[in-house]
Amino acid sequence: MWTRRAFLQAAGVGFAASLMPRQAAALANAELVVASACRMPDGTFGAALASERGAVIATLKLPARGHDVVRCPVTGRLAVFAWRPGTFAMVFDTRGNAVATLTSPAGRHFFGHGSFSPDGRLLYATENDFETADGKIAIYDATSGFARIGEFNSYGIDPHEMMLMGENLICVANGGIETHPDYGREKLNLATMRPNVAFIDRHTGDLLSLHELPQRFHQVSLRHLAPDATGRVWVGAQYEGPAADDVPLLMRLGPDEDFFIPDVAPTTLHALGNYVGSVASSADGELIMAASPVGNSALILDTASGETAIRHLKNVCGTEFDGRRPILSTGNGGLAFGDAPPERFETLFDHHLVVVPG
Amino acid sequence: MKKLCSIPLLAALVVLVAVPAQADVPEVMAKAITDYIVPGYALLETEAGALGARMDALCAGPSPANLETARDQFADLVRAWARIDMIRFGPVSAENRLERVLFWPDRRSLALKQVQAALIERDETVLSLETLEGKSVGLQGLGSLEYVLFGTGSDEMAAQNDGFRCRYGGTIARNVAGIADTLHAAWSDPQGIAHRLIAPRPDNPDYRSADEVLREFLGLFSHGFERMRVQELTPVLADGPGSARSKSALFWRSGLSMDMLVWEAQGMGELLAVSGLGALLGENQRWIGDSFWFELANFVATGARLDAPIDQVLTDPDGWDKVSYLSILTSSLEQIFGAQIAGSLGVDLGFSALDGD
Repeated sequence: MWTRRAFLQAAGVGFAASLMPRQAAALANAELVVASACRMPDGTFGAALASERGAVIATLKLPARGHDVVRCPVTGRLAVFAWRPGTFAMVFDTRGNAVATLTSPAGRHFFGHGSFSPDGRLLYATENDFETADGKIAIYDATSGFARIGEFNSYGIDPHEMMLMGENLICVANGGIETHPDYGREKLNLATMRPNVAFIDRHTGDLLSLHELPQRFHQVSLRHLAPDATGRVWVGAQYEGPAADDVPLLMRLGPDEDFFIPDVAPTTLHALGNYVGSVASSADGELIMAASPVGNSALILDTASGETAIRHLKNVCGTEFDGRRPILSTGNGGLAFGDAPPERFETLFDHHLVVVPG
Repeated sequence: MKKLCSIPLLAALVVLVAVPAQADVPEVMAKAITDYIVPGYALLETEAGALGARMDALCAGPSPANLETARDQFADLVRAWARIDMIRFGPVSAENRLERVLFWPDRRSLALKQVQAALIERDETVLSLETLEGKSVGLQGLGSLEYVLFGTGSDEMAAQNDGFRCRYGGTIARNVAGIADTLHAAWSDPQGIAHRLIAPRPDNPDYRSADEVLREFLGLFSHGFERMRVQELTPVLADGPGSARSKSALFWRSGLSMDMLVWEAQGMGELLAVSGLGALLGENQRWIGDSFWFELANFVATGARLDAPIDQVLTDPDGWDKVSYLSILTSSLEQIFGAQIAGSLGVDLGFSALDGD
């Protein structure tokens, strides 16, 4: 149950109760489907498409743990990227059929995120050049078997989530944390890390602007992104310092606009445990949601009023909106739509989910 | 190689009695903090202070005996750190204290280059505590101290010299002592992190429930064994005796690589025993505790038999196999905490939590 949910109800959560019976029945039959990387009941890893009513629609086996799933806006195909420091990505259709398997080149691994171009012709992926620790954005050609056709700098270390903004712009969150496969997922530079958010021309790879928080927040790793309706981006962060410190975890910026940190009470932010595992924005861009499996909580911020709502859900991390209706997934196999209790699955959902239109 | 100390394995087994769950978490944390963490930082301060004094003696009277005494004391300091280095949350995660005590792994040998440069250039600013603590973390802790005491040119400290290297070593030791003092004070503060761990409240900034406390505490063990494997064992083992990379080992110059691993494992065993965590397991889950002690005893016994410098251990196929076995044991020990004990106590350490993505 979301706390302080008035604005959610007004926007859509719980609105089914106000519908006529026939409309309500139609709504009940309209299944919403989401896709997520997951751990299967037998302990293997995969990706799954799961419905609002608790059914697994399709699955795809993966060679190892996946992380984010992104959807091609033209073909509707999905791509799932290996969990750091994995070296594979798989493209698949909504019936769970593999279309292509991508392998990062020698000396590189994926960071678990990527994005299709608006015309569906290219698939971008964040990668680690792990000998130099330079972040890269690799380019794969969806029209030619997803061949790797180029790359450019991410302008930072540890590029995590990236997204396309309009036709020409890439936004990437460089988390700033150096890792190397020789040392697994260990963090090698916490004393000197310098995360940033970079805006890049996707046609030339040129850096258009780069944004850093003040030095005192250099251990605030900027990792997850969600666009809003105004051409700006919301960033979700994870803090590498003491859990009791109060630091920015949710902030907004634009290509030509520095960080705006909303005035959320520290006691509210504490629910996130200094760890934002994913962020999402509502279709109209007015609601921003951040989830934390560390804090076992999700937070929604109404950007217009500044009002917040919290939902406590064990191991919650995946976030999306269906219009203004929040969707949450959990590492325990929970999938919660709006205000309803989570549907329970035997598949355990990874950190991110994406809505798959019918 | 230092003589390995024993741990009270049998005594620890006694605490694995059948007492049901989470109401006792505060008691477990109180014991862990009062009887292990706080004394652990106190010991670290004591050993670092003692090394400072040994370095002073070496500076005042360069001799092979005084150098040997200082080197022996370095081993005692490393042992004190190994006992407590599984604590990666709370005050040690603030102000780069962890990295200031030990900046490692150092993939690009940044610290080595900085220490060598400071020694060659006779950088006077590393001789003062006030200026050293503001410099690169690579210059401040046990890694740089090891190079001072065991690295190229360290034997010259036994003879008459200008004392620069010796004084730098003393400053590092006092720097570590100062950090240990800060950590000791922070954990001893009745209103500080200890209070929040023992009495979690919904309005705490960090620990809001017993479940969160237990997750942090169990994670300390599972992540500790994982870290031993991915940082200290896997990179060193490589693909076999022919390709093993002994110079990737922690404290290879001082010959303490294997000791460090054993001391770390012993420390986790001691912390588990002191805390009484095993008492949270029910009667029908006692086998999990037994599994832990069995695997830990294997680890300690195997590690203790590898009583040679790490390069010799790794080039010997039998030695390499034994180190490889240690790596397997860390996986098993990690799983015991991350899956079995956590599962028994209803704590989810996380398919998706706490993995930094």
